[in-house]
Amino acid sequence: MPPASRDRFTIHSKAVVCQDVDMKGDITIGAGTIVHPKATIFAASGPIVIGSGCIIEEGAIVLNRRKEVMRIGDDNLFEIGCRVECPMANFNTICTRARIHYTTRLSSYCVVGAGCLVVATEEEILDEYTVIYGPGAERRIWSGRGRLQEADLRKKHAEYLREMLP
Amino acid sequence: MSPGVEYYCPCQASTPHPPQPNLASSSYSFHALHNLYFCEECDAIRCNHCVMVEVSGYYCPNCLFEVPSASVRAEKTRYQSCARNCFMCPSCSNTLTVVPSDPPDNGDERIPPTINAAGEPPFFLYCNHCRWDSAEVGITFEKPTGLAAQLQKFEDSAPESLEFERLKEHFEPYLRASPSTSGNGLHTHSPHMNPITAAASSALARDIPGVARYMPHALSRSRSGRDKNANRQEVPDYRARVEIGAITTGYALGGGAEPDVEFMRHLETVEEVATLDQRWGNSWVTSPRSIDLKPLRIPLHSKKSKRCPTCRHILIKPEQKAQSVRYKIKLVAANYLPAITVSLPHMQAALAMLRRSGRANAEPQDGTMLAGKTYPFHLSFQNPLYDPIQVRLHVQRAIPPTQPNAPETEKARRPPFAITLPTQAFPIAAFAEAWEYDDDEDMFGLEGEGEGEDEDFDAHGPKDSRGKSRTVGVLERRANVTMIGGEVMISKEARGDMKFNMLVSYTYRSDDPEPEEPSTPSRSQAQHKQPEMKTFSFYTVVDLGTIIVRDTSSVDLDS
Repeated sequence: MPPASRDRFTIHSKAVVCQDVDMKGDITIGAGTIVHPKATIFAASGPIVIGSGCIIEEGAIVLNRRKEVMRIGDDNLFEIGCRVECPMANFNTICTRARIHYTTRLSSYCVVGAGCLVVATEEEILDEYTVIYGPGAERRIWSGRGRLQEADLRKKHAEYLREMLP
Repeated sequence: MSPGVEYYCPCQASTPHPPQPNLASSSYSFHALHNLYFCEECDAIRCNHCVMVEVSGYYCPNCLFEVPSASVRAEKTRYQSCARNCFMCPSCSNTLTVVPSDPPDNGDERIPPTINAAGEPPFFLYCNHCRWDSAEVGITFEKPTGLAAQLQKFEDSAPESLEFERLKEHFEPYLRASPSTSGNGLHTHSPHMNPITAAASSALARDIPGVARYMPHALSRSRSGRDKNANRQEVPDYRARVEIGAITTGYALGGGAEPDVEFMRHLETVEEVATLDQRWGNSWVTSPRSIDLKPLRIPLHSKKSKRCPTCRHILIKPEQKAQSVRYKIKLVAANYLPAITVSLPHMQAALAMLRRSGRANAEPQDGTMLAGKTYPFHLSFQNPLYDPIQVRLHVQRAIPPTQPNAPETEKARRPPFAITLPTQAFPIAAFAEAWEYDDDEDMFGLEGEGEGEDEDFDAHGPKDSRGKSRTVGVLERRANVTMIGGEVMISKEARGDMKFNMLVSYTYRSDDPEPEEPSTPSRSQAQHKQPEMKTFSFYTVVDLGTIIVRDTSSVDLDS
């Protein structure tokens, strides 16, 4: 971790933040969160607070462009190469190379599919269980069936990573 | 359109000469090289239009299960889709997976729910991509296997499929009896009508439930036809299980009746309506609401083998196994004919310049040429054969050339543009695997020939004020690729696409020696000897792009 003068990192002792993670600004990372190498967390304007049990994979970019605190809840999954500039609640999945603009806000259990681009022209809060998928970033509401299994899988995923990552 | 070369298959024409490429109908005779086959027996090009296609196997594209063709044929409609667990998401057409239900939520966030490996009983189909699940439309399964069979019960009980079954049952005895009665030509009103078409026409003319009788003529005719054929087995009137009116007005959406209108009136978002793509694959009338979409069976794919239409030899035959992408027999034209690519050097220069200057290409777009100018073009020939070949090119005139050795002379009669190509044969070295190129012994060349060609051209080529740089002739030879230059002179009033037919004949050493020549000389000696050489000619169309007309002032400047 590159210590910088104005940077202030608060990382829980049970969180795993790998080497080679690019972090800048005021960042708080909660318990059990895993940040893979080559991930980027930029608190450019305001601070970023990441909850517990999140997984931030390689090449993911978490960026706060705003002044206020960007709160990311618990058990979110940021897959490889995604770019997130928005706050969110719990259990969201941002798939590979998806991009979410800062005008959007996610509630819980949302899924942004691979390669989807979510740019809201005005402030927008995605409902719970919103699924964005496909090349046209179509939306639908997930029924929520299979949610517990997915939560279980997410927990196992995080546990495995905690054991395996250096 | 970018410049390209297509190859001619003579299957659709009576003459060996291809149609003029500017005719709209000619595009059916020209194909890209990778779509063509080559019959070794007939020594001819075969295209997808003329080959005979036969199915060599059916398989499911999802699970790669090979379905025996017998069962596909027996179960005509039902098992043309995968009969195992393969379903397609109706919302995003991804494949669905079978997942167990969630265990009962104990309400406590802290204690992770115990998930048993086998899963909880109500299974449903789940799309990993858009998270559609079949429980939304009320489809769940007790077991995670044999879903198609489980679903079949529901499908069989659908009113439409019951109706269809009954219809089949109804007509089956008649259809089975038809061949036996076809011999007695007792048909009165149309002697050429065979019983099946008669049955079909009478069935069509019959009173359809729900449709008003507005065809009294047809009805009476069919009735009279029926009366005359007393000995013909008669089709009794079919009584529908469900009146058609009941389907449309009663409970179902999608019949185009009142409920549909009502539903459309109360739309809030477009997403509520299923798209045409989503409804297209269904056999029966389905609801237009996207929330009613059902999982779709995955249709089987087939592997096809193709035969030459004349000698019935197999041209291409895939391996039987669905997992394999290899071919047992593969006689594709790309292995026999030299691959020709065309490029326009002036365009590449322009593109490079545009790229360097970073401007958007506002000037001549890809594949356009100005009228009244002369352009060089390059044709590069790639030899797929293991022997060197000699290639000779002829441009086809408006009238197919009777003596193909003097194409340049009638240039004046070709109005829109004139093509100049080397008339002499030029060699292309043999195809060799990459590891054979360690030394240059294969690269025997016939240098100096190009010079002679240039001279040859200037004699009757276009008298160009810009001198004769090597634009026509062999430009480059490396490995099994020879690039030759040609020139096109576009007249001022030329319009449209710049396409011309080109006859390519190449001479190669035949693999099987002539029968009257029992003592074959050694291979190295035979390479340039006459008796073993064979010539094959084929037509291509070269598309150089479109001609655009510039205002006259600039044209005058150029010319």
